[in-house]
Amino acid sequence: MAVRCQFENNNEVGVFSRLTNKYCIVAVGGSENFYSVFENELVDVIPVVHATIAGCRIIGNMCVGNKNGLIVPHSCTDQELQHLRNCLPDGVVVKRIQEKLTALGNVFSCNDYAALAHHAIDRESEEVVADCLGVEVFRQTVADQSLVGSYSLFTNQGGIVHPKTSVEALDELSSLLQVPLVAGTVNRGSESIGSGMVANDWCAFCGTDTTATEVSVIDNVFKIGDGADASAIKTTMRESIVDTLM
Amino acid sequence: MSNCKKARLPEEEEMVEGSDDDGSDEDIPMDADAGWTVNMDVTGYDLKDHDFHGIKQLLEQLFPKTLPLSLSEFADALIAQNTIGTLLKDTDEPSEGDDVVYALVSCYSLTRSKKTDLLTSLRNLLVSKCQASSASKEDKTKFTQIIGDSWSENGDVAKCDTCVGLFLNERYINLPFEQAAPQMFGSLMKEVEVAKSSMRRQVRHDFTHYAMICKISKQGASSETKDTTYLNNEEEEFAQEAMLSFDFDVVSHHTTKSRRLLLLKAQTFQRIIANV
Repeated sequence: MAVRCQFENNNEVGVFSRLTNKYCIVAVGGSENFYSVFENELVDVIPVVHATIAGCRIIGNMCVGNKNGLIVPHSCTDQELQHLRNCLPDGVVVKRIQEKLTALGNVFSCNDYAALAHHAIDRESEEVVADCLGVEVFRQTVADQSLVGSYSLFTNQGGIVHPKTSVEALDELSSLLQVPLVAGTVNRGSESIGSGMVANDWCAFCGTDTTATEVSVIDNVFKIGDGADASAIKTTMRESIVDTLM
Repeated sequence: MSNCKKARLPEEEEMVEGSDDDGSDEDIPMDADAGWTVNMDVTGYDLKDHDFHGIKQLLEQLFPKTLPLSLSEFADALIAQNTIGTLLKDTDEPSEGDDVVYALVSCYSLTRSKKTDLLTSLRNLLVSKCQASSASKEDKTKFTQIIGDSWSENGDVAKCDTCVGLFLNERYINLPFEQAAPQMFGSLMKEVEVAKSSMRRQVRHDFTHYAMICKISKQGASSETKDTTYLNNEEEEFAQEAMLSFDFDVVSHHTTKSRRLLLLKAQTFQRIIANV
């Protein structure tokens, strides 16, 4: 079951955290409630690390990573970089890149094998990302939106994209990334999936406003929880979600 | 349109905007005094599910996120009481999209039989702010008693001595409201009147008192010469005849804002609101 949480009364979980299969980074908050929710689920499995990037708490928007590495923007200070290098597991390479679009979390979306990128990123950044994260990078738009990181989220099991993505675009992205994709929403109708939630191969965290339907879609597509039947979203769940097919 | 329950408000809201609005720079004179008017047609609507985000945004103006109150639950509760409350939205309503909600007028009864988290946090908020304020000891006891009497542990609301309704009056800052106010307030009072007869066991609407929280700003050097301005102008009249009131501060986006809670007897409230 996806876990609902809030960062200081804000439902945009994906803005304040970054979750991968090897580590989890959360923002520094006034109360430790947000951190505790992650710790609860992930204790002993992967390290949960407090960090800031460029002095900001919006670390989910600022960095991108997977099990192989973490990429931070040039505005990240030396101390923050060192702190990340110290706290993250040994196999994870932390790199700082000179990219003019510094909100890397909005600009890239990736899993352990493939990544989607904003069409205007530098060639150099694309190469560093491909190299450090060990992914194949595709410059794509999602529902005509360039900020692929904000409007899509995918793991090795599956992904959710902007609700207004056409069926053809969905098929194309799905075949590029080699994971099943669904067009959906999170946080009660919010289109920013990447900003609204985080997920890895076995758990997901979303805002408290997320409806039960959205949570069941998340559980199904990311294959989270027991008895998460992969194909249920096409069969049993379809009737409760789809009203009419035009 | 089935959810447009009132006639269109035959108003054209006039807003005078400065010359730094969007539009081609060549055509518009950059003279700060030469504003122009924008005509807006607005209509009153019932609260529906797809207005959730708009309602929550307006509630955030009054109850900043720093307070221990779940605005999502509150917005849901206001939508759930489907016969009470009005929203002001654009007349050309797009289908099911995230409509912009310009104003919200509603009344939430604190005298309910079901003990929800929302109800508990609202009451605790009001009572704790009262206790912490600089009101007189008499006023504090009176207020706490009135709030305390307006619910019962065992959920039997018929036996409650008092019945308190929280009056909500929120809108976009500086939105001209004089034309819309009488209609919105009038229909709210009618809706409350109708609600009095239904659902008596679960929630009571035969209010003995109305509570309202006003956004105020205090200017002036010392606390004696402080000049209080009410952000919603019409609320000043309510304040003059309130049976008791107290001030408290809330923190919103790292700035401290002032709020004043007014408690009015039902007849006083009804009289003033009819004259708005």
